[in-house]
Formats: sequence, C-alpha cells, structure tokens
Amino acid sequence: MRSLTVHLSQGPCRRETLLAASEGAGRPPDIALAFLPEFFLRENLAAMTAAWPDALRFGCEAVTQFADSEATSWGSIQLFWFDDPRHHAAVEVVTGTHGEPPAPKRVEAVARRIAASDGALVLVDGLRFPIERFLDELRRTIVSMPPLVAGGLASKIESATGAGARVFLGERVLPSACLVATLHGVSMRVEVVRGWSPASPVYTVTRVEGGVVYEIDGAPATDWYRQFFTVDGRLASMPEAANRFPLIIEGPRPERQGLYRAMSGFDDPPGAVTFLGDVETGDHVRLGMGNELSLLRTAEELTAGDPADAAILYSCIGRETVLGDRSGEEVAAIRKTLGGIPLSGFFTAGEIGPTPRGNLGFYNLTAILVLLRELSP
Amino acid sequence: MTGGPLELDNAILRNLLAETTRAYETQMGELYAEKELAQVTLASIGDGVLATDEHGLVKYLNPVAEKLTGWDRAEALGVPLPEIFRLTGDPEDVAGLLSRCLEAGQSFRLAERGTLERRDGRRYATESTCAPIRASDGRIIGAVLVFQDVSDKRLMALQLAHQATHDELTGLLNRQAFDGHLQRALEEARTLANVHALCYMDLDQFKVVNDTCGHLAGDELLCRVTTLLQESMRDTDLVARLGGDEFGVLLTRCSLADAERRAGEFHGALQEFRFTWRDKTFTVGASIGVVPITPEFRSVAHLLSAADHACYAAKDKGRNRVQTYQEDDATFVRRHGEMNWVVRIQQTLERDRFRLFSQQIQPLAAGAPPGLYFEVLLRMAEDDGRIHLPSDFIRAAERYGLMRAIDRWVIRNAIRTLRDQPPPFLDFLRLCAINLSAVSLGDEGFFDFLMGELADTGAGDVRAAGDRLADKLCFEITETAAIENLPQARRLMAQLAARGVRFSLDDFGTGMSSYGYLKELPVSFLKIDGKFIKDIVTDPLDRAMVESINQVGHVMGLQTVAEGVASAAVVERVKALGVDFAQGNWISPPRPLGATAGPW
Repeated sequence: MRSLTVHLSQGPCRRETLLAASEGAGRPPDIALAFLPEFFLRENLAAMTAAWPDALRFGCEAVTQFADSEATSWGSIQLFWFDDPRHHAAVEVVTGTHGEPPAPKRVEAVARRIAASDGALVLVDGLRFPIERFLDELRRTIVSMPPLVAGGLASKIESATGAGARVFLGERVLPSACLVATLHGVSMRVEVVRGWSPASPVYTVTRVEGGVVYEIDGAPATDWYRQFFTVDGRLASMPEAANRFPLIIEGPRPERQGLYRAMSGFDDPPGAVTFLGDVETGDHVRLGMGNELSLLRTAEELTAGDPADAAILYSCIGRETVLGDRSGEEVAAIRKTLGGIPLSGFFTAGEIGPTPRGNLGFYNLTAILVLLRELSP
Repeated sequence: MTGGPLELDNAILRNLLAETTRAYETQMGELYAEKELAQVTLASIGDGVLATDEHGLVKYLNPVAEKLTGWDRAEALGVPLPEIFRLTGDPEDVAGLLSRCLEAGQSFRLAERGTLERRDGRRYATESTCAPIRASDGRIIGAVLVFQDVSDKRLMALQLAHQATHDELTGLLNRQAFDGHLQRALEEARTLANVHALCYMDLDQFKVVNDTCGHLAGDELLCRVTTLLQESMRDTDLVARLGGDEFGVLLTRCSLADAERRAGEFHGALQEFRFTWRDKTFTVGASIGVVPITPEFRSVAHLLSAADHACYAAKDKGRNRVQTYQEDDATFVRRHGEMNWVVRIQQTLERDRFRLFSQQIQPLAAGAPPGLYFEVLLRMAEDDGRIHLPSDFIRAAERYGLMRAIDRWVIRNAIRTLRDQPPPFLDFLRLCAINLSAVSLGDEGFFDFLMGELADTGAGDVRAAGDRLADKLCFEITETAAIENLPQARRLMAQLAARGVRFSLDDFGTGMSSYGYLKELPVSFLKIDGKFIKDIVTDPLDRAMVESINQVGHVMGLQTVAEGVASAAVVERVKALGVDFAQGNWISPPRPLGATAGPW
C-alpha cells in the first residue's frame, strides 16, 4: 500500500492542487480520508470530488488536524493506493441521535460487515451520535472477538450555524452519523498511547444515574474531588484543574480496566460530576496524573513494532489542553518513532480502541494510533 | 490559592499524597491483621510449612514443620532449607529443586516416595510441594515448601497395592500381577534375547481333598503346596496362584533344560509330600507344563495357552508328570483345533445356526404300539452350507464348558419344534429321544429349566400340554456321564421320571458296561452301541454280546435298541435276537426335525 498526506493550506483547496499532490502515484488514489475544518468544508469536498471522483472519499470535521508531523488548522487529506486490486475499503453510514439510538438491525448489519473485514475505522459525530450505546450494541452483536476497531469523535460546534462535529461521505455531509470504514486486505495494529500515572488509592463508584456520577465511596462525588482539589481552603477551578488528573477505571469488569475518563462537568447537578465517557456504578476508580512532559515522553518512548505503510492518530482534546503550546510535538514524536511514514488524524472528543482485555473500548485522554499495512498478495 | 498551574498541580499532588499515605496506613493495619490471621492459620493447619528467602535460607516454619523436621524455629532461621528438609531414599535433590524454584520460578511436587529424615534420625513418609513466593511486581522473593506426613496413607496404599496384586490365601502373586511379569519377560525375550521359562502346574488331588475333607482342608493343602513350591524355587523366580489349584512359576534367566530339571525336582518333592487332614492322608500329584519363553509367542495369552496345553498334555498322558511344550505335538495341534471349534460353537450359538435333525427308531417287536419314535440329532451349519456332525465339535464343547449351553439350546428348540406341529402330532408321537451331557445331569438348575420349557407350550391347558410332551421325552445319557456325579444324576433322573420323562442308556457296551449301575438308575431303554451291531451278521462274538445285553436288559425290565443298523440282514438278525427297536441309516437317514409332515 502506498500512502500520502496532503497538507491543506489556508482557504479552500483547488482541484489542481490536489491532483498535483497525487500525481506522483501515476493513478488516482483508492481512498481519500479527510480531516477538515468547518470553514470551506463544501468547497473542499467539491474539490476532492473533482480531483478523485472514483476514490472512496470520507472523513470528519476537526478543529486541529494532523498532517504527518504537524498539527494544523487547515485540514489534511490522507490518500491510499492499494497494490493489490482485490484489496479495498467500504464505508457504512449509521445514523442516530442521542434520543434515538441506531436501529438494532442496522447495528447487526454493520457488525456482520466488521466481522468479515480485516479491521475498521470509525468516525463519529461526537455531539449527537450515541457512540457508547452503539459500541455496547456492537459488543453484544459480535459474539466472537471482532477484528480491531479504532476511531475518534469529532466535537467542535460552531455556535452560529450549528455546524461542526459532522462526518462526510463523498460530498454528503452527515450530522448525527457514524461512519464505519471496513478494510479488506489490510493488516491493522492499534496502540493506545497513555502517559498518565496512578496518583491515588482505588475507590468504588457507588451511585451513577443517567450517566451522572453522584457518589464515590458512599460520599458525594464532588466531595471526593474536593478533598484533592481544595488548596489553601479554596476549590480549584473545575473541571479545568481535573484535566491533568483523569479518572482511571481499574475494574472490576475486565473489559473496563484501563479506560480513562475526562471530567466534563462539576457540581452540576449539585454534588455530582459528569464525564465525557461513561462511568458505571461499581467501577473501581482512582485518579491519575500527568502533564505535557509525561505525555510527550510516552509518545517518544513508543516502540515502532513491525513496519507500517501509513498511520492515523486520534488524540484526545484533553491531551491537547494539557500539551498546550506543545500540542504539535506529540504527533511529531510519534511520527519520528514510526520512521516518517505518512500520518493523518485529529484531536478528538473521545477515542475508540481496544482495551487491555478486549476490544471496542471508549477512551478519553489517550491517543489511539492506528498502523496500517497492506497484506501481501 | 497558589498561583500558576504548576503550583496548583503540586498542591493537588500533596493532597493526593496525604490521602494515599492515610490509605496506605489503613491498609498496613489491615495487612498486619491479615498477617496475624495468616500466622494463626499456618500454626493451626496439619501440613508442615517452611518458607525461605530468595537465597533458600529458612525464614519461617510452622509448628508441624518443627515437629516433623526436629528443628525449632529459633535454630532453623537462616539455615539452608536442604539441611532442614532432608529427603532420603529419593533420587530428587532438594537443593537442586529449590534452586530451580527460586531461579526459574517453577513449582514442584516432590517425589511421592520421598522420606523425610528428622534431625534425630526418625523417618516420615512425606508428600511435598515447593513453589516460589513472588512480590506484587512478580519478583521471586523466596520459596514455600508445604509437606505432610503420609506414613499412614502410604502404608495403606502399600497394603491396597499388595491386595490388588496378591492372592489372599497363599500370599502369592495373583493372575493379573503375574501377567505383567510375563509381559516383561516376553519383551526381554524379544529385545534382549534373555532366556526365561514358564511352568504351569495343576494339582491332581485337590478336588478329592476339597470334596472329601471340605474347603478348609483344600485351603490348607494350597498353602502347604505354596510353601513347598517357594522352597523349591530360586529367589529370582516368581510364583503365582493362577486359579483354584493352578500355579504358575516364571523361571527367570533359565534355559529350557534347567526349567525341566527344576520342574522335575519340584515334582519329586511333591511326590514325597504327604498331606494329612485329621485321620486322612493324601498323596498329592501335579501335572506340570513347561514352556520356554521365546519371541515366537505373540502375547502373554498365547504363552499361557501354550503352558496350559502342555499341562493338559501331562494330564492326558496319565497325570502327575512334567510335560514340555512342543509346537508340533499332535496333542497341541488338536488342542489348537479345539480352540477354533470353541469360537465356532460360540458363534453358532449366538447366531442360532445349530440345526436339529431326527432319525427314526423302528419298533421290531410284534404288537409294539404304533406311532412315531425318533432320536433328535444335532448338526452345526456353516455359513457356506457345510454341515458338521457332533463328533467334530463335542470334544471341544465338553472341554471348554459349552455343553450346558448346547444341551439347553437343543432341548429348547426341540420342544418348540414339537409344539409347533399340527395337533394330531402329539397323539402319534411315542418317543422323542434327546442326548443329555454329563454337565446337564449334574446341573442343579436343569430340572427348573426343563419344566419352564415344557410349561411354555402355548395357549390352553398349559400344564396338561407340558405333561403330555414330558411323557414322550426320553433323555439319552451315557454311563460315564451318569457316574461322574452319580448322586446328582440319580436325583435329577428321579425328579424327571416322576414327571413322565424316560431315560435310555446310550452307547451301552463301550464303557464299563456295569450292570450294577442299571439297578441304580431309572432307565427305560438300553441302546446297544453300533459297533456290536455293525458286523452282527458275520461276527459271532458281536452276536453273543448283543444277545447278552439284550437278555440282561429284558430281565431288568428294559427295552433295547440296536444302533447303527445298516442293512436288512442286520435288522433281521437283531429282530431274531429279540431286540425291541432298531435305528440306523438303513431304516431312516437323519432328516431335519419338523421339516416334513409325515409319516404320522
């Protein structure tokens, strides 16, 4: 497989620019995976259609995208050419809203396609699509261990237009949807990049209702946080201060062990805490800690493993916050470790990847690195 | 509040550290309590527990371990484990195992035969396991040895093992254990060319002692013979009791000539031996078969079969002697042939392939009641249509205990065939003679069997139908069969005679022909053997014999039957002598029983 990442520049991109970027391959790409900003979205999609009308074109909106070693705001398009004409990819569109989860038959159909593939990439409208319920349904539907599934959630919303967090297939822009791209003839490897260390004893979540955590160890969840985040008699600004102290789920259910959760709301409703991912009653949890140095060190210490043709990185926006000015350094460090292979991706509102003891985990505060290599004929 | 994010983070971390420390202290308290509980538990359990550090030096031992090793805790601390836990009589090296446990992290179960030698020299049979102790990070920080005193258990296991492999009465090896030794001897003969021999011995007088003096005497005789046998054999030989009065001896590393000599010596010793029980004294003989154990024997069963055949040959030659196995011996050939017949007989019974024939018996005397008289004859049908006469297979059936099954098959099928004939048949039938073996004559269950078969004669007046058929039945027995178990034969014959069944003495003239027995048995017919009939026209001696038998029979109120009649002249001659019936191919060749509708 050959791959190439097109770095978009400010303003709408043009067909000629895209053709010029891909002409070295001698033929149009088989796949064009795009992570694009909300502005000039329609123009950019039209240019992609004009340049590569026969390619499988899909992607999602993103605020910060990765283009090889850079973090950019102008978008990136990763192109793929299969060496073997029998190898291919296909995209399933699953629609749903937080009020209306995907129809079970649709989930079953998608599960069958995933099970028949060599791996799947998932891109999700992170604002409207019920990804965790969808993943739950997939887990229930796929009886045996499925091929690897990895992906990320788009989340940014533009207040005036309501745009943002959308996925697209061809020139169709799809809010409230999830794209499942199944890959055939591709070996897929997934690394979960962490960088957080345990920082507290382990406690038990004792009451969760409607996705809101009310009690930890029998006390209001806010009180549990207050014991750590009260400094000089005053509570630190929440939930921002908690960015560098994620909640780590330690079990007891094996498939939840090693999941991270980022706080999204504090004391609203009163006494309760909300997170970007689910927390369940009975979860064993502890606080982790980390900073930009620990995150970057983890990225630098990543082992390359078997050579790959291309990489896709879904890094959490929580990491972007912690990395601050150095947010571009993580992707640079990872790409360096991988030997400079073409890379794309974006900062996500939630990552999908395998857990240490299973598959289809929903993470916060990690970076999911997908490594692709075309299988030998 | 402090200033930037770094200071804030540090303050939060301090809070976390304080909470972690508090939790750690709580956990330590709990751990201390758990440790106390663990120590109390270790002190209470029945197993010995020894723990070492990563260098194999003892750090802990519980009270049971103190008792079993003879080391108290204060002395044992810091001492290398192998000095305290000393296994003797065991090839496994405790030091080596401990080292592998500590270095490779492997768990071991120490040999089950291990014997722990206590500090004062006392020994215990132990079972023990050794496992690494790991820290939470997986590092090996020591080893734990758990062991228990299994002396009682091992003694019991030994006793059970002994019981499983030895004969309870004589203490000799039993058949199963002996087979195992024979198997190894056979393998050695094949792979190492080692020379061994097998003796198979059958006491000749055991049954007499058992029957006349009772089982206690029989048991005592077996024990005395066992002692004699063990005294005659070398320490390397294996003596086993294979059955009631059968013994086997595996003579290891022994040529055939030596085996024959040693068997002869034992036989001589046995000849000189006198067994006394109360006021009776018996000489005891034995028939001994000797077989060299050679690679030609395919299996232990084959080997034992050869030894059994040699022993049987010794009996055949007059008992109380030693007989060496010879493959080309006609006796062995015949015995092998018999074995083949046994299989065929069993298959024929299973497949219901025996066939019944009948041969008419002709009344000769004027005024004899008209009707049908015949003898039921047995034939074995092969798959290819060939028919075998009883002379082919009866010897094998007698030797291998199949006569009871054959007799019952014949009687059951004969009665059913007769029952299935049209109603006038029984009125016309006068006599249906069926041969009965010595085994059935001595069979205590035979009477009930026959009554059951007669009762199963169809609908209607069952008892009456059965009785009518019983009146027509006549069992042909031989003198030899009758006297083999005379009391039981007499009892059975009386029971059956009371139900109307009659008896004829078959082949009269060929055995002892003791007229005395005729008075003892309720016999109605004498069947004069065909060898006296065959040449009766030309041989005056045969004629005199037949005349004599016929006269004596008549004097005793018996009717006589001339067997093997093969011509009209013979019929005329036996008729002239006053014989009552004639039977033979000239009168009527055998034909399938019930196959034709006449002549009745």
